[in-house]
Amino acid sequence: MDEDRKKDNAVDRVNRAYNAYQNARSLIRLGRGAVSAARGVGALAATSEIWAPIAIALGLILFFTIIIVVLTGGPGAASELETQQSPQTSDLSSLFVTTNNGSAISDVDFYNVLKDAFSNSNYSALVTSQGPFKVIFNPPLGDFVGCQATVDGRNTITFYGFSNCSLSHQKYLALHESGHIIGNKNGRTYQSFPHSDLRAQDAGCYSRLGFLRSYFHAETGAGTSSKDESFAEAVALFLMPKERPPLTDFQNQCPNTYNWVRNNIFK
Amino acid sequence: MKARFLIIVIVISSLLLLFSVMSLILEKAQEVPPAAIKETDFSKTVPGKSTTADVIRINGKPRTTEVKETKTYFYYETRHSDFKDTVVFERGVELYALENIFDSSEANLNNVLKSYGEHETYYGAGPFLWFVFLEKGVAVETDEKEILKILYFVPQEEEGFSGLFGEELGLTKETPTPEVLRP
Repeated sequence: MDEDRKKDNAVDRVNRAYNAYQNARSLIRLGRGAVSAARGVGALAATSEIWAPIAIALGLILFFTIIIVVLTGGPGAASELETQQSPQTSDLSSLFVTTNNGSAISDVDFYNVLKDAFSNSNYSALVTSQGPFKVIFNPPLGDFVGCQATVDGRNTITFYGFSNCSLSHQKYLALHESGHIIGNKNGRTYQSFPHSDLRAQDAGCYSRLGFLRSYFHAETGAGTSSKDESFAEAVALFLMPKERPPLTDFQNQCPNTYNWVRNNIFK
Repeated sequence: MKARFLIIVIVISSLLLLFSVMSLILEKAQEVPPAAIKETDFSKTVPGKSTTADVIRINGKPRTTEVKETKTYFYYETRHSDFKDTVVFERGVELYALENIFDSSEANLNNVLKSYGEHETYYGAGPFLWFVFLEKGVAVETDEKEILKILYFVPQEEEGFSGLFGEELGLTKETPTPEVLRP
């Protein structure tokens, strides 16, 4: 695991160096363009007395435009910013903070469970929008075989017996619970989840109680909110579209719900 | 001749610069989304005083109504089908009004906290918190960044508020028990 982490850091460094190289090349190209333009303007100015002031004015505009482009970083500035904001594997504490009560799982292992999700910068920004979320790993509850999870308060995921489950099930549980964290910390995003409309549009995907049918308590509700649970479940299904029966083709079975998650969570 | 030349240069430069700036301004103006449609404004009615007629005069007729014992509920459509703005009357007088806020420009959490001062914190039926300003007769549902709902009520003591809105909206000061476990 440590080796993977080192590799990721190395990849990050290589990416940053490559970006810097590309930026330098862009500036050089810009400078060459400015010199050529200035030569053109000079040649134009020399040909006619009437055109001279126009050519000089155009030259001035071009000059100021180049200055503005250089100062603002040009059209590449936004994407550069986005790159800088992407989470780095070397700084897991900016994503989540764990408390381990006897269940053997490291931070790096947990990061790897959610790695696909964290690789999306919008997901990472949403799930950490009010700081890193908390994760508590507890031993299994009673004689329950397997793993369970819940969200305590608004920002804490508590797992029971997390290491007892397969990697696939760990991923599902972690994604689903992180969906709750996203909803809890981003009221506008949660508010905009059109649950009633999606129930009507993707009718076959929702139980009679309004839960996405892959949710464990879809037929009973178990005292939970169908909007809360469907929001969280949709986040999990987006990255596990073929693994949660009966919704084993999430994109095609529930196209409207899929598109909402793509456009609002993993955009 | 030299002065004339300079004037022409300055005039042309100024015109071109002006044109560029105007283009940028127009482009930015086109990016601004259209003004949000505001369905209701419950801040203009007064809980404890306004009547059904007052509410209808200011906000129009509700989409649906419901009567439960001594209370009458007016439901107004909002831009999201999952949310209804609600005004509740008791014996014809406004008891409280609940308005959904979908746009940060409609209500700002920092401004509310700054203006209204001390608040009580309640937990709601959903995942968000309620900041309650008992003396002001205002409460806001929030994710601690944005205001999601505003509740207007008759200013009152905490006991009365907890009783009424515990029953009506499921508000409580007790930390909610964790959700059911998911296997």
